[in-house]
Amino acid sequence: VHELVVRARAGDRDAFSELAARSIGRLTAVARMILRDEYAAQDAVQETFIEAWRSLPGLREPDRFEAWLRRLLVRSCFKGVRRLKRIESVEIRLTPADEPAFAGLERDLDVHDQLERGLARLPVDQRTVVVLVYYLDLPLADAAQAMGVPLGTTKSRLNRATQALRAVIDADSREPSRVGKGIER
Amino acid sequence: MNGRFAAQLRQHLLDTADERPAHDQLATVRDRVFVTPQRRPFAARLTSNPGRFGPFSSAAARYALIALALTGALAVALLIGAGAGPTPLPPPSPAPTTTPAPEPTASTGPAEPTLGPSAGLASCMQFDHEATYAANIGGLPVSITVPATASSSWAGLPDEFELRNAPCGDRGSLWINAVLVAHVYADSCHWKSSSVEAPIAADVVSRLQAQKGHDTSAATDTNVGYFRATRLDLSVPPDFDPTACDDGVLGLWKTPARIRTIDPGTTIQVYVTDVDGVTLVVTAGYHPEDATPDVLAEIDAMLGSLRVDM
Repeated sequence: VHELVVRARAGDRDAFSELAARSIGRLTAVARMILRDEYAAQDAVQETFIEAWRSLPGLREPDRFEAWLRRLLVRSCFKGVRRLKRIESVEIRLTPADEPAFAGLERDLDVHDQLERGLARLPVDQRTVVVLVYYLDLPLADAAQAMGVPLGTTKSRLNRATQALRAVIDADSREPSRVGKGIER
Repeated sequence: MNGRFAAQLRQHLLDTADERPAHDQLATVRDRVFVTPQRRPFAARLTSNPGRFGPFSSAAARYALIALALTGALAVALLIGAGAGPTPLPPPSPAPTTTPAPEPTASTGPAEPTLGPSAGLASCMQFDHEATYAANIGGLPVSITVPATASSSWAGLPDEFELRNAPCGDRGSLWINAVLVAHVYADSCHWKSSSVEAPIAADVVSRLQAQKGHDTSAATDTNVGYFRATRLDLSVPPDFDPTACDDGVLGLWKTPARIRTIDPGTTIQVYVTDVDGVTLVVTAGYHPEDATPDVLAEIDAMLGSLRVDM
């Protein structure tokens, strides 16, 4: 990677294409998790690579390329969220978490479903730190750098995110009795 | 958070992660990179690595430095305003720089320099009635409407923007093409060693005006769709023999997949426009003997319908 970054930094487009090919899958997965919108995720990844190519001559330490790319991606995702919010102001977008649930089915949700609903409900800054720490396995300091916020802010966001996720699971575990009554009616 | 919950969360993210890039996403990135210039190192650091000017001991120190810089800029502005006069600009560079990138050759698959039907034309879309043809050009969704009054069927490629007034598989006598361009040849005959960068639309226009090997009309300002564009008409006399040229063809510009050429006896209308910082070049080509007023009107109508879904 070091050699490819050095060549790409000097203007070698083939080297940059190789770097993009190696990382596009992982970056796309991260963008999908953060944005939860396929088209917005694709836009964010594309914007990340174009910005990386344009700004690459300014990267002094080639070994920091991946961390630098992650930061560009997070920035692009946050921009994507702002664009999505503008769209949502005229179109009410139904996410899985917003869709009306069928009481009888909800009882059968497993932990995966509960986590998925919980992640969908998280604010994007909290969902981002969850993805960086638990999917990319980044140390908190690296996650803070990727998001461009202080370490303390990152810790508190992660803490609030995990509390919210646990709350979703706890709430669902208390649901069956109430839901059961609903079925009986 | 306890370890079990953390493990569940981690496993959930790993299980649900979709690492498959979208169809053509990597190709789109490559296309956009191909036509996008890099920033100079100082500007690149300013925009993307602001922290590299640090580390500063505090935010106050950083703001103090910014304030100092602004004060200095203000002082310089006042000096100039007081009569110091503008500093003369350095003279423009005398010639464009030549890029060292290897040239695609006429014998290698998609880089084949040809104006003829592409290999993929067999799988093209055919329009026998009024319809909108759309294709993605390096991430730009571009469309053109084939009018109800079209003189014949038109066929369009699915993976690149190229329309021909012929059924799928035929060559036709008119064609409309759109690409992103950032490299133009200085000499269309000896194109292999003469690629020059053209980072912005004005560069593409000036490089084409200076390009050797064909006749070039004066540049005119016009519109293509909703966009302001500069039009140039390029033509090569029918009796010109290109066999002494590189690979026996005249090359105009190159894209990642293709070298655009011009055949003897043809005319190409070239429309150069800036779309969101990249240079979109739309061309309409024909043999002059086919260019009846009706044909030219059909081309004008189709170019007028060009849209870019930003």
